[in-house]
Amino acid sequence: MAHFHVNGQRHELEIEPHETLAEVLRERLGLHGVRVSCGEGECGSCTVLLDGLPATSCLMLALQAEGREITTIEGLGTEDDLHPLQQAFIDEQGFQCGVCTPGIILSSKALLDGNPHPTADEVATALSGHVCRCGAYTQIVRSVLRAADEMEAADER
Amino acid sequence: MRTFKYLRPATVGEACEMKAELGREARFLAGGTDLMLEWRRGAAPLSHVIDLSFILEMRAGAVTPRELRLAAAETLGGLAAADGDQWWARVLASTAARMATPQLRTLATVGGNVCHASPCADMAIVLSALDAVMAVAATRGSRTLAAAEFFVGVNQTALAADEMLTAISVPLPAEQTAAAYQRVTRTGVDLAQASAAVRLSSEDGSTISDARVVIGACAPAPARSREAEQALLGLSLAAPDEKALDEASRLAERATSPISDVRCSADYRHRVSRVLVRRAVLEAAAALAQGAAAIRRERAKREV
Amino acid sequence: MSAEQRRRVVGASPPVKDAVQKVCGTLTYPVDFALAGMLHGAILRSEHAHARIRGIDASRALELPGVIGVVTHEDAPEAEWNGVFLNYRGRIFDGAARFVGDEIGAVAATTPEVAREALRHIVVDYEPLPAVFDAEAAMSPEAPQVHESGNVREPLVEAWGDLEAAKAAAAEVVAADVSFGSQQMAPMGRNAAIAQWSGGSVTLYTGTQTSSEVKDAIAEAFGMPRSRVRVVGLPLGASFGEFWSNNFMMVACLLARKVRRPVKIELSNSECMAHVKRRHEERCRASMGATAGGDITFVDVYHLFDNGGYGFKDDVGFLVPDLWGAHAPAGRFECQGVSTNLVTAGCMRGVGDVTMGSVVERLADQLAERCGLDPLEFRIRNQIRPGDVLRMAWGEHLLRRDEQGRKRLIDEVAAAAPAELRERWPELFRLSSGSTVEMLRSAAEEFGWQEKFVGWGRPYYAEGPLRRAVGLGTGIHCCGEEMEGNTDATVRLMKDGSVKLYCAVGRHGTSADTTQAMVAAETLGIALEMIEVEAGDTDACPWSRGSIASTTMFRTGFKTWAASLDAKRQLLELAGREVFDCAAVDLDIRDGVIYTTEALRAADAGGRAPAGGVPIPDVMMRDREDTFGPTDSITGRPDFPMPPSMTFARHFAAHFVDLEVDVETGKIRLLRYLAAQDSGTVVHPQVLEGQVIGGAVLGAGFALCEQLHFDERGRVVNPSLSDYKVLRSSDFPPEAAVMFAEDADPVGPYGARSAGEAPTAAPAPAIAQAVYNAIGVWVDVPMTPERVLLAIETCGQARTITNGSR
Repeated sequence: MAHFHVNGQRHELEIEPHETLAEVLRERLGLHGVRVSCGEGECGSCTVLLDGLPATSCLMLALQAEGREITTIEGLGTEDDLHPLQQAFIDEQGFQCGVCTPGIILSSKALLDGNPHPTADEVATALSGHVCRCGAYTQIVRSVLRAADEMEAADER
Repeated sequence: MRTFKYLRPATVGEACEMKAELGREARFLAGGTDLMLEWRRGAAPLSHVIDLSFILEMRAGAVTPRELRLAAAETLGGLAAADGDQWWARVLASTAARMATPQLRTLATVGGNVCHASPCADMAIVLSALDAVMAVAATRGSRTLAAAEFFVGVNQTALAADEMLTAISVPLPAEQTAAAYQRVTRTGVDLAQASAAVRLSSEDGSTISDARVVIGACAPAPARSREAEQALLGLSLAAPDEKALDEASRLAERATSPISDVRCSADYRHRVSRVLVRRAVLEAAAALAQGAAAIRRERAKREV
Repeated sequence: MSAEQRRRVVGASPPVKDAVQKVCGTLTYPVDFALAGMLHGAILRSEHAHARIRGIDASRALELPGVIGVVTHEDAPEAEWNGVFLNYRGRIFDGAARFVGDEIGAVAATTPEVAREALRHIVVDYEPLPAVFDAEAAMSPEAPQVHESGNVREPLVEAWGDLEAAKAAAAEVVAADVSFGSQQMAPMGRNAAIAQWSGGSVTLYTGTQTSSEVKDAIAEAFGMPRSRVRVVGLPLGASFGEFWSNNFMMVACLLARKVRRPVKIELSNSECMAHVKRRHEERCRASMGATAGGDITFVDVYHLFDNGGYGFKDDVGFLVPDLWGAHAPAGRFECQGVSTNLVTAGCMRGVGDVTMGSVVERLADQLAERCGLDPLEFRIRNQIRPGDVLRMAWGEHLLRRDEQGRKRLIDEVAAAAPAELRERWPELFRLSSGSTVEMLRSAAEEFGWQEKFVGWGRPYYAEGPLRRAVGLGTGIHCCGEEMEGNTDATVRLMKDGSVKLYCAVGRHGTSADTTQAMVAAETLGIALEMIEVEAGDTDACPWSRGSIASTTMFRTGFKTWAASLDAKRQLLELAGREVFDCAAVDLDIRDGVIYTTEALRAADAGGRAPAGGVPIPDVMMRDREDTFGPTDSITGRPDFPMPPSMTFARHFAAHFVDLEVDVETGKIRLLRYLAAQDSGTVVHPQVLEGQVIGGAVLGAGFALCEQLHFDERGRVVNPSLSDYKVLRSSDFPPEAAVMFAEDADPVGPYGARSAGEAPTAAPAPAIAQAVYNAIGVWVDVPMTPERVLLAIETCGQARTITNGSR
């Protein structure tokens, strides 16, 4: 019996040792916002936050994540209650096909948590672990910069 | 269905006992970013996975005036984020920050990189240039191995079947020291096609008194060149002699035996490794020159 | 107010329809899709590049717990199926393997793991055959024949003028011979096909750019009526041509039919990268000549491309002769496709305009240098403008007609259209709108070109090993084409004034559902929020050409507009008859309310809200004189055809790049990027910007680092992102800019043309030219650090000054 903290909730699951964190999140908990694309740690679409840091869930054994706080896109915001980052990505259209989007938004959250005022180059470097094959990079960077401004403005209010 | 058993030791001692008892097909897991890929490809038979990431002492490093002790399970992300100003903190942070991706760095460990011993493993190459000593433990006893003895070949270390890496010890010379790591890749996120790690020390603050030169990704293991190091001794920090630099680069490259692979040809590695050695020397020398100048200014202020 | 200013929807950037789902991760892609009771399929793939399958023994696999069934060539129907544009032709399985990874069988099991495990227990008796991996070698009659119909397709030739005379007249002639490895689409999100039979009917759920054509292919493969086939196109990751009609979709249908349960086949990443489709390997031998003053006199191109195992293309797909040959007295473009025993090759975004286009751009630049013109001047002087003759204007269906026949056709088409449109329609075989000229000038100014371009082969900055220079490149592509099938759309207006638009378009990230809805909303005079779009279900959507060949905005948009006009006409006739007691032409709709045109004119003139309006639902709900009940719905369909777009419509790109070359390592670093685009009226600026930058990133990847490598056995050596390198956010200038030139088209919806492929063609020539300016050497793509270094050394050391032009 393994214990997971996912999106603020505790789960007890009977899992096999070889199951990756991505498989457990997707298949056991129905969190399809965790994507498995390349399956080998290159593309970043499986990115989740592990104690607030972006991590490659398709390579990680689920058991390695016991006791750690896991956040997926579903935990960041919902369709009725969007996180400012999600709203900024809508406003700047920081996506095209959307496959890489949840992972990128989570990495952006980790970036802004540590660096609330990044430059465009810092955003581009922080997101270098993500492949956006649609090539939406300029609009993605703009979305993150916009979110940074709006989150700062909200803090000041 | 292919699976394996998962074990979670709480101490180094427990981990060593498990390994001694279970043998070759029980493998240590820290970040797991290499092991899991190998297992899925069918390249690594696995009966047990021994997860080291919950052992606290494997995560906790320490620093004294003469030694930096890196915990083997320290993550690359942790190293990259460290904002220390010391020469060794800067080279380790900048090296880690160029490896893999931010997401992989959250999981991957310096020990994993070193034990996987890929010919282009950045930490292996830099730590070799820093004269690192590997602390190795087993139920039957512990020992230490110098980097040069540790890295034996492609994905091969001198670790015995029952041994595990617990820490990496980096000596901190008394003299002013700086290190630099240069690498060439196809795109920003990539394994190095070729790389060069250089550590320079200066007793008098204006010339090189000690050097280490190691080329990476151009031989089965990190390729150190004592001839190149000799050729650098005595060179000026502020304006190193061009001919001597070229000679040192040429000598360093002679210590390598690159192959052609999907990333690039042996010929390219020959050419570019020389360029990288030269650039790494210049980078470290400039850092030393700056540091020495800063020290002289401080001293001058105090003497007034 | 101008017509553009009165627009209420087109030209704005509202959030796209699925924006919330995409940022919340709630969109269901094919790999996420599941049906109750479904089994999982895995495909058995050939180990050999060319082999006869003497037998397949699946007995041990069938004994494994959880294995339900197996299909092989013995289960496959006899008929071949055809994919779009001859990108695929073959039987589902035919007892032969034609590339490493070719589908030769499949297993259905209770879990994906069991299905994959079962594959390892299937014993295949291969008779390996000699294989051929190179297009030129495959042209020889002695070469192994990939298909019974032979390896070599009929050459396609487009020629005009007297080539020999033009060659003789040229003062300067340049030539090039450039080979291209394959680019791979490397789609994100992979794909899956889920097939379910019910009686004699089948439904296939999958990711595809061409749902109507997949339906046709299934019907063809299984010899069944199309009325019994339903394809549901799901949202898909970036596809770039990979997922059109693919054999793994047919395999899923065959397996599901055999085991009588729904079956899901999910492709792994390496299957997507190595066993489905790729861009062709190509070789372009070309020469080009000009007068001393810089007028192109001829272009002569022989372009060879490989079709891989199952492609049958005879035309790589190229509009370059239009861009560069419009003013040239003579030209000859010959293009030939050849089969090889490598994974099937076919259309990838930009097709021949990316490859052949980059060679012609280089020749143009070399001529410009010889003639003492800069790259801007040379293009402005020679490239096509509206009204110029098109060289690539033919269509197969037109080939057999004479000049008069072709003219009669457009007259007939025009006669069916509303009068006010008929007058605007272009003369056939001439460019209707758009060019590179205006955007070259304005983009050059925006980019600071004059300050940074200091002469051919001369960097504007040289320090140590670093050289910086600028470069520009142009690209062209069609706006869809009418061969093989037309586009279509249906609009259904409901009682409450909401609308459903049915148009089969790709769902691979172009936000076509939103932009089509914007066209409909603008036409109908209603808010975008009142329109929903069904884009993937062939049971709901009329048969429509897929999102290929940059078809969607221009051709599908035209039909969406026409269908909306029809619905609007019916509604206004109803309103005129039942409510306003006037003719339909005296009514219009604004913001979902019907007014007389008189009332609208008065209100606009006086700057106040119009009076006397009746909301659409009120008209719909009103009891009619003819049926005594309300109008339940109005269905709008296009009732006039679109003139053939290949004969007049093109879109254009002009890209500018500032980059740095490290001459000791060969590393190229992009510093600044500006992409200009002429796609006519911009319907949704943010969406179009995404398409332009996305195309630029893809084209830059083609230029710098992307190439599939094959080993001596025909196997892909780098089927993964670790060694098939693509550009990331840190590899492309994060503040890259986009500019639009909006030369409105007389036919396109609200003047819009298409957009997707020219921006993939322009980056390679821009980057290659900038590299030439930086180091004085032309480097072939992909310009990896090694290849740049090799080029420098082959051509002598990096020069900072060439022949002093300027």
